[in-house]
Amino acid sequence: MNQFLRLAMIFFIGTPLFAQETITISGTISDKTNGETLIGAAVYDINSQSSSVTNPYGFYSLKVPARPTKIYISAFGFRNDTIEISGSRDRQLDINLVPSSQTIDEVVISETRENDNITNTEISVARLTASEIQRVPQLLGEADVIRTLTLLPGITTVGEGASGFNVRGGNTDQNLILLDEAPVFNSSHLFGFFSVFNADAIKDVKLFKGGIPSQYGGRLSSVLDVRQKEGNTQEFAGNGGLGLLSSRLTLEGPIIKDEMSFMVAGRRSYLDIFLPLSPDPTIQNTTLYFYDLNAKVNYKINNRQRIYASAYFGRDVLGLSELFNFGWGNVTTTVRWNNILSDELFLNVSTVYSDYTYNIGTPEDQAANFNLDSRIRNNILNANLTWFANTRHELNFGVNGTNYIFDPGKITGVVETELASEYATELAAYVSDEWSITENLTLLAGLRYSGIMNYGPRTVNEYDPNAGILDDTTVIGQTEYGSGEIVASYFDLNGLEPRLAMNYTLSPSQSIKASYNRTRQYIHLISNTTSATPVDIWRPSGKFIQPATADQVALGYFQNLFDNQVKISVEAYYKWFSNLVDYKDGADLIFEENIEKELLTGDGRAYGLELMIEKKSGWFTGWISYTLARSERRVQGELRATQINGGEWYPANFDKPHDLTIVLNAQINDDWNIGANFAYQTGRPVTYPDALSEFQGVYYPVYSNRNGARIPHYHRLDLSATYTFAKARYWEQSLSFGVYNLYGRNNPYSIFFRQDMDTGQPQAVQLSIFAAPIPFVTYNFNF
Amino acid sequence: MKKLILFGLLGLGLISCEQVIDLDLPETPSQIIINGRVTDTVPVQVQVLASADYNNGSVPGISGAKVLLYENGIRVDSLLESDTLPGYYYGTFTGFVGGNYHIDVEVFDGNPLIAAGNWVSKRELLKRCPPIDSFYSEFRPEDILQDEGYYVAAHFKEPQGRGDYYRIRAWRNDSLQNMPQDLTFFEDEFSDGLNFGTPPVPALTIDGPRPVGTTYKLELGSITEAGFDYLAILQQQTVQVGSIFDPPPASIIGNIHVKGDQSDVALGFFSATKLQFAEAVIVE
Repeated sequence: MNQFLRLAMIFFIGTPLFAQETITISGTISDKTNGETLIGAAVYDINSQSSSVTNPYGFYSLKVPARPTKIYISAFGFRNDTIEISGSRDRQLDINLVPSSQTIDEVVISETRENDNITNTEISVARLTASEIQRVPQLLGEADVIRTLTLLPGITTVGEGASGFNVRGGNTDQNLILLDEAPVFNSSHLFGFFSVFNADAIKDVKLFKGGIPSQYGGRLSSVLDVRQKEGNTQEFAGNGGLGLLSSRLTLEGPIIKDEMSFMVAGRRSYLDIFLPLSPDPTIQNTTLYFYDLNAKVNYKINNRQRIYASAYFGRDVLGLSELFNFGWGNVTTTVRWNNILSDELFLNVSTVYSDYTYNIGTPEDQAANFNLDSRIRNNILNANLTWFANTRHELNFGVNGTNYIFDPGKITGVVETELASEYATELAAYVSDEWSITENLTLLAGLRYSGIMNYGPRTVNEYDPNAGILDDTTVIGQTEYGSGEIVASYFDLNGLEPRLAMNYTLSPSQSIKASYNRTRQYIHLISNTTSATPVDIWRPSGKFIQPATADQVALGYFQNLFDNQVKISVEAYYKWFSNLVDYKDGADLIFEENIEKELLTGDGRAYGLELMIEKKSGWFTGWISYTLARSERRVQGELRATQINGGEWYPANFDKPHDLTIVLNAQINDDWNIGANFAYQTGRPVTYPDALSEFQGVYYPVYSNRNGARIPHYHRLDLSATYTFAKARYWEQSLSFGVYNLYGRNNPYSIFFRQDMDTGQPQAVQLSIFAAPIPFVTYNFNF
Repeated sequence: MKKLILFGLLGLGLISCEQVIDLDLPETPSQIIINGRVTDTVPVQVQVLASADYNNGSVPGISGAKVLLYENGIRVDSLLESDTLPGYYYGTFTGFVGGNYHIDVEVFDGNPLIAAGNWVSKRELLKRCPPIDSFYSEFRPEDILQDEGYYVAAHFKEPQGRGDYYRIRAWRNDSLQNMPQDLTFFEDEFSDGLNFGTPPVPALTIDGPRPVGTTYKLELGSITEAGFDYLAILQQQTVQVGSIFDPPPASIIGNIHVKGDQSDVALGFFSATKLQFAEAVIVE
């Protein structure tokens, strides 16, 4: 408790006042060419050396001594700018920066302030811009946000084509994926081969692996904050591309110049167009595609107020002839209102609606037709206030409220049945202070308090408390909860989530950072397959599922070399999880009303060392990332049926101790850009049988050592080249081509065991997903 | 219904490649496997076997065990080992609907495969099973679900009252169809009191398509919920493999355990079942 008292003191008392007379310079930093506000741009007073960084809406506020000075502004990918100010009074200073072109003859060697990575408190953060994602060689040429993220340290997937991603030993459902503040429940298209983010519509991607700011919560392992473009406020523009898998088009432009602009982006895959060419009639009649629509409008009400409305609509559709249809997708809408209350107070209020649905059905004219619908809806209200209190304190506080409605399954058709809906409300309040204690020492101290209540109407099973297991045999009754009646509520001291990050700057090019985080998770993806599927459902914490908790400590060393051109970071972390959902052996999770009968509760631990060397400017860019990490789970029930692996620690499915990635990109000349990736990973854990058993002539493997073996190592090389055609007046075009898995490594996805269909002999079989080189060609344009 | 959803997932053609590989697997001590079945028509049978290395391809029998059958807690049969098949024990007893059955198996010192011990099964209730009303062959045109050709199918009326579980086995030309893919079992969750063969419940199609003259024998048997769960996990672990959506490998725990210690489980399952049979020949 002492810790919290101290924190409270920092927040409420410890804001020192400074006698020196200061003025406030505040405003918005934007891209001059299209009016897009810039996130994370740095503003720096050369005299007093105080600095500020723009928030996700491009707003900054900087306190400087009241005397003439020079303000230096820098942002990655833009030319630095310096503005002289008289320093006589508070001033709104909106700044437009000019992009630094990627071509070699225009390389800008950075000056002093390219060392934000050294001086800020951000630890365990990965950031990508759309152009970085586009320069990495990609599967089928699809610029993919999540695939690119997995090339960074600490971020992995179970295997190629698996849905979601794992951050520092966390499960795929432990990532809070936000698209313009709206949570996305399924980030994958085509079962996991591609992500739902259309890189053309994306402005900024930031992933917090640790040091998660207190304004974010509700997931244990990471926050992926994806911001869509706002739309060009200066002129009408567009870009698009034709690829092997999909085509896309983005249009943006001013509706009222400098005041109102829009962006719309669409993408559709067309694998299915080629399916009728197949000789197999079943494949001929198969439908398989996905599409995305992104849209955003923003309106600058006045110099202080701005409103944004954005939406995402994406869907996958699979139809096997007349047999069945299968579709799933996310819909999100966000309305945000920014209000600069004063030079030092920035308010953002947003309301978000997010909806994930899936549907499986047969045509209605079939004799035994059926249709299954599942849905999860949530309404969110966020209010966040940033107070740039003085040169030493930047406070951030706010509230979040999320209301969930889970409709896990409704079957209509010949038989009609429905799983009961589940209702829950998650509430949180938070405060944080970024405190520059000395010139070299900065502390980001935050505290979040969160909880959930699960309420009726709902009928809940009661189980024999002495049985030690929840199953059909231990049900002793049922309790009916009326509409709005609380089934379970978790608002207690466990809902306190301290978030601390610290930076000690050793020199302008060297710092040490540390962080501690507690995170709580109140909704859980119920999935026990190797890769989550679109039909996996989410369930809230309730009477039987407790909120999950993770604690993480991280320590990092950051060093910039060669005038900040090369950035090196080394981070070590240890993370421990409690109340993780796990599954009984042979759990049947499909269409189960009382899901608690299939579940177990376990612990987890993950630890690792991450090394990153990157060069982001100049004609030759890239990074080398290496992670040494472990992730393990333990389920210690009282009974054998409530244990996994006899209650011993076992490796998580995605535990890959060694993970090395090299990403290189060279801008050879104005026309040619060459990219290469190399990835090496330890094979993921699989379970080998200890023995062979038999039941009435059916042979089956006996497993006792969960994930006790590993598949062979994974490695792969990808190459790409992009040729940019000479620029026409308004028209720029390029052609990219390359190969994924250049040397055709037969990387196993899994090893499984079955009886040979002909001989009945038990056999081991290796499954590979992309066992051959996969070439691609993509044509891109913009105007 | 659940299977249909599952099929939806498995039926997805992924750009994948499979290859059989040689693996060095760990050698572990043998464990006892006890499978048995008491029925209302076929005399009781129990197999006492020992698990083998996975690559071995078969499991040896355990000879010289004492195998007893109990009905409602009273010993009703002592099974004798086959002269030709080591580890296969046969009795003479047949059960009745409503009886509770369990077995007791004792293995003595000196067995080369496993240490001496005494195992029992949990009690299994022999449940009702409706008769097969008809079993016939028919020609079906090609549609998306099936190829053109001759099929055999059965009609029967599922009795009123939820909680019935069934297993089907079929012999084609006198050969039992017994690969993991042939495991067929279902519950009356969506068919309670309905007629298989009258919409909305389709007839039970057994196999096919097959040529004219193919003979079939069909066995419809009642099973318990425990038996259903056992077959479900057996099927999950043997059939639902080979995709990126595999469930994790799991131990298949049946209803056999060391006498006096329910938590010390053995491999295998003992079931009680009422059987119904029907035969058909594919005709033009």
